[in-house]
Amino acid sequence: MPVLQTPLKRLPRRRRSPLPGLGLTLGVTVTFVTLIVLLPLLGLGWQLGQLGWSDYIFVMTDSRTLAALRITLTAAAAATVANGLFGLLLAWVLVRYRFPGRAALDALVDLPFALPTAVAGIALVSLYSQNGWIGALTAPFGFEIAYSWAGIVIAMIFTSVPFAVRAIQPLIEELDPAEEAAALTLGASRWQIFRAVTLPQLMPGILTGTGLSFVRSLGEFGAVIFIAGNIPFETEIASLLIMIRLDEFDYPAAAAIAGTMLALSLILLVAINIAQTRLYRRFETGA
Amino acid sequence: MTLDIASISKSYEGTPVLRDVSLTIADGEFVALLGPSGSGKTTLLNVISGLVTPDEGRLTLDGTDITATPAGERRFGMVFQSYALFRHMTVAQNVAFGLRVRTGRDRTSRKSRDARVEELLALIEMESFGDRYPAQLSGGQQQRVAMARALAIDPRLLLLDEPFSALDAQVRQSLRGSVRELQQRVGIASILVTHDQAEAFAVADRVVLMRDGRIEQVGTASDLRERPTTDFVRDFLAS
Amino acid sequence: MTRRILIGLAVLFAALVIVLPVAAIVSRAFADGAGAWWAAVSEPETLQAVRLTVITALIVLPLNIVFGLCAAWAIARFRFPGRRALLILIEIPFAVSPIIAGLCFLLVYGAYGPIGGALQPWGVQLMFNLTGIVLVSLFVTCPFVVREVLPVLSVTGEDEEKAALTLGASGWQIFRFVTFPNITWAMVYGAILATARAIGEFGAVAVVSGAIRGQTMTLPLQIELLYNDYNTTGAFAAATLLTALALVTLVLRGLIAAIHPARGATP
Repeated sequence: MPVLQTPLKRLPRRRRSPLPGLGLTLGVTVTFVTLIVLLPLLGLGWQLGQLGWSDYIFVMTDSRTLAALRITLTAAAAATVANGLFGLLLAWVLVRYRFPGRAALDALVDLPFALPTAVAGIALVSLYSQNGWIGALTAPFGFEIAYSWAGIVIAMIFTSVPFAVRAIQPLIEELDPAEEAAALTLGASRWQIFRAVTLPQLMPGILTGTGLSFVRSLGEFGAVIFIAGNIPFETEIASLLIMIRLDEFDYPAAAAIAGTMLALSLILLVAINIAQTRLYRRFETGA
Repeated sequence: MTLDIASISKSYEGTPVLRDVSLTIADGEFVALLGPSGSGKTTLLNVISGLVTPDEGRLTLDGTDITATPAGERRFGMVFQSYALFRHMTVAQNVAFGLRVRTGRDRTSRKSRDARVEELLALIEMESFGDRYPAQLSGGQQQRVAMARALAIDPRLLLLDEPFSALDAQVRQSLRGSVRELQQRVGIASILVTHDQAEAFAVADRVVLMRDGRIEQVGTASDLRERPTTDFVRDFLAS
Repeated sequence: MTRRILIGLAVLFAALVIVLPVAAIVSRAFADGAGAWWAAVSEPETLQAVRLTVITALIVLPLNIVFGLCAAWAIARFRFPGRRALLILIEIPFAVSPIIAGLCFLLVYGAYGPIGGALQPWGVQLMFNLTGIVLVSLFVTCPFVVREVLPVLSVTGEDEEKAALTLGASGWQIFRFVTFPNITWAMVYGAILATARAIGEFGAVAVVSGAIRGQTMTLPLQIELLYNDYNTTGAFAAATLLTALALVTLVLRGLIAAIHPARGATP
């Protein structure tokens, strides 16, 4: 302990930056984050904690819950596969080719992000229902998209395709054309070059894009409920079931399903993050 | 203005960067802080400017303890290594900034500010550049604007942090002379941080050679060259 | 040849999945002519929904900007314990789906929640009214401004601010004259995205609004209501308003990116 108490010792040591404003800005930030983000999340945790294991298992093994989870997960997976392919295609075309309307196409990719989900929902159902522009084409073949599992997938594709495109696009821009040229001089076919040289370098983007797309699809509500039909055990997604449980004031059940979905999303996001750093590291160390 | 630096120490996360540094800078004197990178010279300058708070020791200016005085109230003009010109302001706006932000009793009128800016631009021989933006200037011109901006607040002390390091050799030579001339004309005590001994000796009245957070030797060019007190001083000057 | 096929496929996909829905909205909204569209848009309930949506956005926007600037300043300019955790918390709303977000607010601020319940005796109700809508809108828009401003602030460095400090500027003056001009566009960009999101949010607002006809219906909720009432023209007419907003958002984004290429292209 210092014996002499010089004026210096009383100076605040916590801030190393001489710039002012830490107290005010951090105070505002922490207050806002606590009230708007932290407390609500803790609220969900608190409700789950009150539930207890056996009740939790009871809610989650309910056949309607399981059906909703199955429908949500399979539809999200299908939408994600589609978005992986279309995302790669769109990103490739946007970066590699110059054609009239390219800028417009590039801007259009963001439309699903900008369009409110309820609007997307009624737009999609009006397109794919029996008397819609596309629904009328498929109906004669006995294939109905609206009010079916396929409709859910379409809605999920719509709302999450920008994630895939925007995650893959920058990686295609960074590709070194010399590598492809080198492969060409070594006698590789164009398909071989794509498979062996290009695709591996795009993997981090594809992984992030599809991962984010999957997480978004799991939680999508507005765009899906209009086109889904919402029949329990058939076309009822997890988000809707949470909503229904809330309307029945069955908060514990709603919290159990929501907590499970949220945990799944967060685990996936963390996993994507870890996998992505690993993939990037592989390129950096030049293995 | 006499600045007294007494027993200043500073550590970052347990690593000492300044160890018990004491130094007195006399009125109107030009002092250079010279040393290799990591010797603590820039940290010492930042302690003097108030941008870094020392762990121990005190700073006294003409008998007044300024150790706890915030940087903005010290009225020390500082020229940054990067110049740190405000890139969205014109040269004139940059120079006027320190006067414009004065409030209350010290408020300045637009007219007096314009007059002062004109005077300073004349001093650095850039009268016709008032409406330019920093990006439209050469490195040497930017450096001079940074000087004028620091001098605009009528500083009690001028602090120069490696002000020539971003310039090419020829410009550096000519600016050294003009900085020295400017300093003498304004008659302000100045501290220059540099790792270039030629620069230190060309500009400063006294040179402070630093190493590992300590002052190794203080003296004029001939003191250091002819009577080095340690092997380090001899070796450093010989290199 | 490959080129043509690939471009063709991409354009076809974009047309089918992205363009057609928007075309469908416009076509359905104007199916009975512009007069019917106007009549539907000027329905009192729809106008009330527009009003509530605008009020919500007007409250959310300034709060979000103030928070965003404060958070970006604190995180970019200072080192403090919990800095990383704070940044993660700010970004978490992007990972929480709308219904779950709404649920979380009900559980805490609703009548049965610890805070909502404690306020109940004083007659303060936070959910199923404008306050609830504003709170969840703040949640879903929380990361936008921070996300845009923080990277710009981190690379603009502190030298200019330190220079202003040595010249005697106060904290507010440094922010106003030196920092703010550098981050204006990033802030505007983030604010545009946040506004679009606040106006268009459906799921989270649906949970906490209480959906009282003519009172707590925001425009997206009103669209659902009209649609479920089989008032197709009304629903699609209301949807054209939000579609127009989305298109304006995209154009503004594009313009800002064009004026200011350094802006990150975060989706």
